[in-house]
Formats: sequence, C-alpha cells, structure tokens
Amino acid sequence: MTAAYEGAATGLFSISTLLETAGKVRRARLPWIPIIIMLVVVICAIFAPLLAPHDPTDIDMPNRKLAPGEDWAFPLGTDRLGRDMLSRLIYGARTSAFISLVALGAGAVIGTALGLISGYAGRWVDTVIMRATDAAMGFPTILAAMIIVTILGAGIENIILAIALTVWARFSRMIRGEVLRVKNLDFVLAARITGVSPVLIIWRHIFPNVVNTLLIILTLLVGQTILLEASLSFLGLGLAPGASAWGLMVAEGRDFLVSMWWLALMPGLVITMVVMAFNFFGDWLRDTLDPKLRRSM
Amino acid sequence: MARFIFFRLVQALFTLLALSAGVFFAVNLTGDVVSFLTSPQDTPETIALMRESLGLDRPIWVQYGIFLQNISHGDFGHSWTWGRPASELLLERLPNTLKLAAAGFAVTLILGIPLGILSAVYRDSVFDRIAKFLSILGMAAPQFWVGIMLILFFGAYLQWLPTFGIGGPSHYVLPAFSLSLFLIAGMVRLTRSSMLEVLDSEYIKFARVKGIHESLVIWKHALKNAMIPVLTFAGISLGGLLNGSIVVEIVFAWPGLGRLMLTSVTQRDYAVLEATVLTAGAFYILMAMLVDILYAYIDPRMREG
Repeated sequence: MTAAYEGAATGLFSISTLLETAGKVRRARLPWIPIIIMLVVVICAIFAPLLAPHDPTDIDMPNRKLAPGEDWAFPLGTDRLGRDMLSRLIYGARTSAFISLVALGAGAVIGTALGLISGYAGRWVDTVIMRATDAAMGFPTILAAMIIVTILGAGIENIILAIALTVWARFSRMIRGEVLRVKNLDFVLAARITGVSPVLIIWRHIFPNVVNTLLIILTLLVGQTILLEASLSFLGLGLAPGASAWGLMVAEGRDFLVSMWWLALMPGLVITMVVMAFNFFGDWLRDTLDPKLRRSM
Repeated sequence: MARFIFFRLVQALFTLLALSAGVFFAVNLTGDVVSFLTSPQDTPETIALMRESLGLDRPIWVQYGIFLQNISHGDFGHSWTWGRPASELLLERLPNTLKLAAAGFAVTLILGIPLGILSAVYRDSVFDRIAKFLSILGMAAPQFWVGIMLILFFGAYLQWLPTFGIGGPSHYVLPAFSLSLFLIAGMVRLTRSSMLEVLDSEYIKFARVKGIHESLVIWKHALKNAMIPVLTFAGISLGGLLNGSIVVEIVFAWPGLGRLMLTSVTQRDYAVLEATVLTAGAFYILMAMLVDILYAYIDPRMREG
C-alpha cells in the first residue's frame, strides 16, 4: 500500500523526487575540478565570439608558425597560416558541444522511448527491439559513419546522424532493465487494474522512476560522444577542412608534427582533459545517485 | 547446446543478409553510378548503352540477386580507382589488418590482465597507481592522438621505432599500443573489480582459513572465477579493435582494410566500399556469435532466450 501511494505521488516532475536527487547531490562531496573543466567548455561554447582573442579563420601571415609563448598575443601559438590556436580551440568547443548535444539528445530520446516500450510491452516487441539494440550496440560506429557519409555526403548533420544511430542502443538497453524492475511494483499494478492507459502508465508512473538512470547514462556517454565526434572529424568524414573542430585540428597538425609540434598536441590534450572531466563526473554521479549501477556500466 | 548453436548460426546469417541488402540498396539507390563514369559530352545513347552493359537497366531486385550471387563466388566487382578486382585488393589488405588486430589484442591481454590482478591484490601500491593512470588515460585520450604523440616521441624525437607502414616486428609496436590503450583501460578496470569481488567471497576466506598459501589462493582459486567476465570482455572487444583499427591504420599509414575503406569512401569506389564494409561486418557478426556461444558454454542459463 505504501509503495502504491508513493508511486502515485511521483508525478513527472514531482517536487519530492527532484528534492531527493538534489539532496543526494548536495550531501556528496562535489568533484570540483571536473565541474570547472565542464563549465569552461560550456562557457567557451556559448560565448566563443566574445572569448576568442582572434577570429579562428583569420589568416595572418606575418604571425605564422608562432610557438606557444613566443608572442603573448597568441598564447598557444599559431599554425602555418597564422591562425590563432587558442581561438580555434575555443571555437572547437562550440563544434564539439553542438554535435555531442544534438546527437546525444536525439539518441537519448529515441533510446529511452524504445527502452520504455520494450520493457513495458514485453513479448515479441521486446525481442525485436532488443535484437536491434544488440545490432546497433556492437556495430562499429566508424563503419556506420562511413556508410552514412558515403550515401549522404560529408557534413555536420551526417556526423550527428551517425552518432545518434549508434548511441541510442545504450539508452534502450539500460532503460529497459530499469523498466523491468519498476513495472511489477504495486503502484504500477494498481494503475493497470484501475484501467489507466499504457501510454499514461509509462509516462506518469514508470518514466519518473527511470529519470535518475537516464541522467547517469547521459553524463557517462558525453565523453564517449566527444571522442567519437573527434575521431570522425579526424578522419575528415564530417567537417570541411579549416573548420574549428578538435579532431580536425589534430589531423591538420599531423602534417607538421616535427616543425610545429603544438598543432597536434594542444587539441588532443584538450579532448583528453574534457573527456576525463566528463568521465569523472559521470562516475561520481552514478556512485552518488545509484551505486547499484556500478556493476552494469 | 546444439540447438542454440544452430539458431545462433541462422540468426548470424540473416544479420549478414540484412547488412548486405542495407549496403547494396544504400549505395545503388542514392548515387547514380553511371554519372561517375560518363562525361557531359556523352550522348544519351552512349549513357543508355553503358547502363545496359553494367546491368543497371534491370529492376533493382534483380540487380541485388546478381550482386548476392557474385559475392557468394567472392566477386565484389571491379574497382574504378585501382583498376583491379575489389576482391583482390581485399585479400591483399585483410591479412595486414588481422595481424595488427592480433598484435593489439595480444598487448591488451599481456598488459591488461596482469596489471588488473596486481592492482587488486596490492591495493594502493605502485601497480595500482599505474593501473589507475592507464585506465583513466585510456578511456579519455583519443586513439588517433595517442598514436600521433607516440610518433612524435618515439619516432621523431628519440628515433627508436619506425612510424609508418608495415615491416618487421618493430613496425608493430606503436600501432599495436595505440590500438590497444582503450581496451587495456577497460581490461584493467574489469580485471581489478572482478578480482576484488572474488577475493572478498566466502570460499576465498575459507581457503585462507584452511591455511593454503596466499599465492596459491590468488593465482589458482581466485583467478579462475575472476576470469569469466574478463574473457567475455575480451571477446566483445574484438569488435572494438575493428573500429579502432580504421583510425590507427590512417595514423600509421598501415596498408590494411580500414585505410582501404576510407579511401573508397572519399573516392566513391563502390565496389571496394561494398567489399570492405561487408567483410568488416561479417567479421564483427562472426565474433559476436562466437562470444555468445562461448558464453552459453560457460553459463548454461544463457542457452534459453
């Protein structure tokens, strides 16, 4: 009876769940370094034009091939066309953040919806969705991206499509597992007996109970999505040469590895740091909100 | 068990068929092959003749049937850019990729498992710190960048190791390490946590109480059980090796399947693209099937469902 009561009270954005989550987060010790790095990335992405000291595409021949620290107007150096490294890195945050956000968002919506349906419906629906999940989960993403780019041509939207098409499976599998745990609890059974429609049951009673899991998967996948985006743009599958994307910058720097080592070093270092920050934060969030998940992720 | 293997085999075949259909229709319905072979000066008659000679005037289903028939004989068509049969290119490049993958896999096992065990047994020791560093770095650093930095340090600066192309054993060191760093990270993490869990179990405590020598407890009693999830991970990660080898082959100019695939994408060389994608896909599907069967063999509960 208590369980049924609690479940019924758990509305979609019910204040009690939110407060509970916020309380857990407040009580734990915050991982400050990852949070600061994440904030810097977000701020760079939003305010790139204000923060960047130069135009990232500006060709400035007199100041070409400057090493980091050689001229403080260009603190991280310039490339062979005199483009400012720091400005390009700041704009690169924008590219990475945009692609990861949209791709991950699309993947999360599709994956969560399929996971909810799969777990709640069961039987053949479950089988079909889970087989598709298995296939998408294991299929090499870069291979998928190559097929998509061959068919649709290069471009940001196709990189996003390629990432979304493979990332949804992570969500559907975990969410389905959570639904199986929740769906036979008293309050769901009570709702079913009183004749609430399946759509409403999933939306009002099951979804609010898997939001924590969703949040955790989302943060844990940000790092991997950034890595994937970087790999695809490194391979030249997505963005036009000269664009400010971290992966692409490493690819360009590779041709001048010996003469201008900083060109390849810096963007890679930035990717590593950012991904590390998101990984740490994701791990922390998981351990704080739902330590049980540790085994399955 | 035989029934399980049979069903899994049928399933794998269907997946492969679906992949072949996906690739074929995607390539043939979206790009007009003839437009790449003709110039604007060609008369409509010439173009029609070319369509006929390539069999493109037939219904797409018939074309797919012919495509299937051809690839069952190992005929993937002719590469436009190389002027050679795609299957010939494939056979030339595939062994190189497999060799690199094998080297990467070996590095993963040789470094990952012992490091994971040592860091679990000697917690907070030097081993544990190295293991933690490697697993954090491996999860976060992009493979292509690790490769490039290795080239910069060991190739350009120290000049110890060759940095591009295929050759003697020394050619394998840098590519194999960049390929496997990500997997080593996963392997170390998994071995460590699996080992810690087993070491905490009742039967290990019992073995210790019985007075069995500590090294025997760890290397015999604990290791056996801790290895089950690790082996599964090893199997699954073979698919990941495939993904990584595309990037690593580009970085180290390795004449393998991945590089062939990327050039076929950029040059719209459809025959080679179909051949490489299907081969890579088949490899992946085969691996997934073997892992499932192995798993069912270890854990009978998996045989149902």
